[in-house]
Amino acid sequence: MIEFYNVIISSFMIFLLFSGNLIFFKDHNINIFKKIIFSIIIFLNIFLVFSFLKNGMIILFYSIIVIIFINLFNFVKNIKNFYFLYFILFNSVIFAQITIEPILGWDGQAIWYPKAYNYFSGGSFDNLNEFTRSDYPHLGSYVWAFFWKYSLLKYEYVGRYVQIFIYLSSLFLIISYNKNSIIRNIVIIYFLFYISYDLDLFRGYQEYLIFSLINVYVVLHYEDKDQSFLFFYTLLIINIIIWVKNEGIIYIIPIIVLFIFRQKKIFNKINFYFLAACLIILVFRIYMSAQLNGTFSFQGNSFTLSNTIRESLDFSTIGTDLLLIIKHFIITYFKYPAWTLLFIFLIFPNREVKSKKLYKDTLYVFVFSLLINIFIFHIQDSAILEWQLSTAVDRLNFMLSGYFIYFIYRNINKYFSQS
Amino acid sequence: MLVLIKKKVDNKFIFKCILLLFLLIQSNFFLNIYTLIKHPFKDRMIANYGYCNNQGYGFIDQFKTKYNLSNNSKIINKNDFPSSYWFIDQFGEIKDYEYIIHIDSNELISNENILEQNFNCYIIKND
Repeated sequence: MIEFYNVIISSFMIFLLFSGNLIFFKDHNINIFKKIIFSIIIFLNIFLVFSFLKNGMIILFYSIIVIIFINLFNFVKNIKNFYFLYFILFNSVIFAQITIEPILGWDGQAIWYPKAYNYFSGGSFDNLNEFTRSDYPHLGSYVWAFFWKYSLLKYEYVGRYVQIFIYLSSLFLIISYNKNSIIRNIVIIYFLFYISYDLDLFRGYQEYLIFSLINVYVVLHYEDKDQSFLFFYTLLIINIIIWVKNEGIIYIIPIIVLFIFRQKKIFNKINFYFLAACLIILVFRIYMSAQLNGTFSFQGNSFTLSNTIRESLDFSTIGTDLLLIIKHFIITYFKYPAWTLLFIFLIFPNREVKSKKLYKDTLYVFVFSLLINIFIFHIQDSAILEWQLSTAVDRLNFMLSGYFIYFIYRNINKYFSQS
Repeated sequence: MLVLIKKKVDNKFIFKCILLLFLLIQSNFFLNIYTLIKHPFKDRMIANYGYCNNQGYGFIDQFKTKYNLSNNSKIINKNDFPSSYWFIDQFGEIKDYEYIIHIDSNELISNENILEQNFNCYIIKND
């Protein structure tokens, strides 16, 4: 029974921390899910900063306790909102699934759990090089360790609840901007949930964090009108993504391009400042990784500059590589229904959606995803390509599907309206 | 009184309750809560990671404290599973290990240094 209370207290710690933040928002009319998402983005950046400090976790914990008490009243007020209540229950349902089977996947056990354990047991950023794959970033593991350490019974699965919370927040953000009926919105939520839900990826993997953050950016890009606001949040989102997984450094490229081309004139001050800020963020990322490991490496020795150039110019294996890659891509596209629906809506888009910028942007991002993943696997050693494809391509494609969830939603919503 | 109840319990409210209940029932939420209360954490871990099979969580956890296996052991499991070192808060092989743990061994091990044996799992003191 005590474990049941442990789950409840830990869940509420997450709900109270991220929901109904009054301290960041003056305007109380902002929709709840937008507030939640902004709280998540700001807090993840705060977590990142504290992850570099020795004893950062304990300072963070005491600060968060204060914030939780501040948020308590607003949280209770938000419960009256049906969507928010539904959101809380939806989270609880998925939390329960993780709790019943508290297992970790292969990479969860081998790579991400050791990083989380480092922080859980009082280690700091400098200690990360004592564990395997120190070239992998640590933010997801730090957040995991935080909620694991400050739970009642200190079971690691509690730390993974925050990934579920962020994922569901990104889905609820999509419907928060429309004025559909409750029935339609709930049906759309279910639909988006079922095309993007994979319990295995909550078993210590980090893919959902990147998927959710990319999804959040795309929603804000098309729904939010405040330009200055989006400038800062885009930078904050990019800053989080590159510290979750190494692939994040590549997968933020569409975000950067989408932001730049959002302006009427590409060569303007905003874009200049934006690119400069992105560069600073990237340089910091590379610098800190080099500090930890002595040198910066992208996925070990597979992606050194010399290796990349040599393999990309080696056309002797491109035929066989392409066949294998396409085979595994097709498997992924059926494994994750979001991809199947993406193809359907790219070929048969809703007339209204096709006429908008969204369709063209989605097409370009899709072509980018296809080419970048083909390139990533083409430059791998052909001898182990089959193994690498079978273990990694589905997760890489899953992360990129975050760019397309909003596009799928717009098509579904329009078809609903027209019918 | 009835009029008051009817006013409060209108169709929208009933429909919202149905939506909530659908979510809870369809996802086996109540069953999961029952399982959580009935089966403690250790039992659920053994059900998933195995006692003396799979990754041998149950066997390792049973003797983890008794022999202080953390940073002190070599785990041998010839089955295709991730390494079980993290069960004892150890994250890789070490050179000077005091104990050898066999998980789901295919062969019968006879060694005078066997400290514990359950089914085909062994803890052996390293000479």
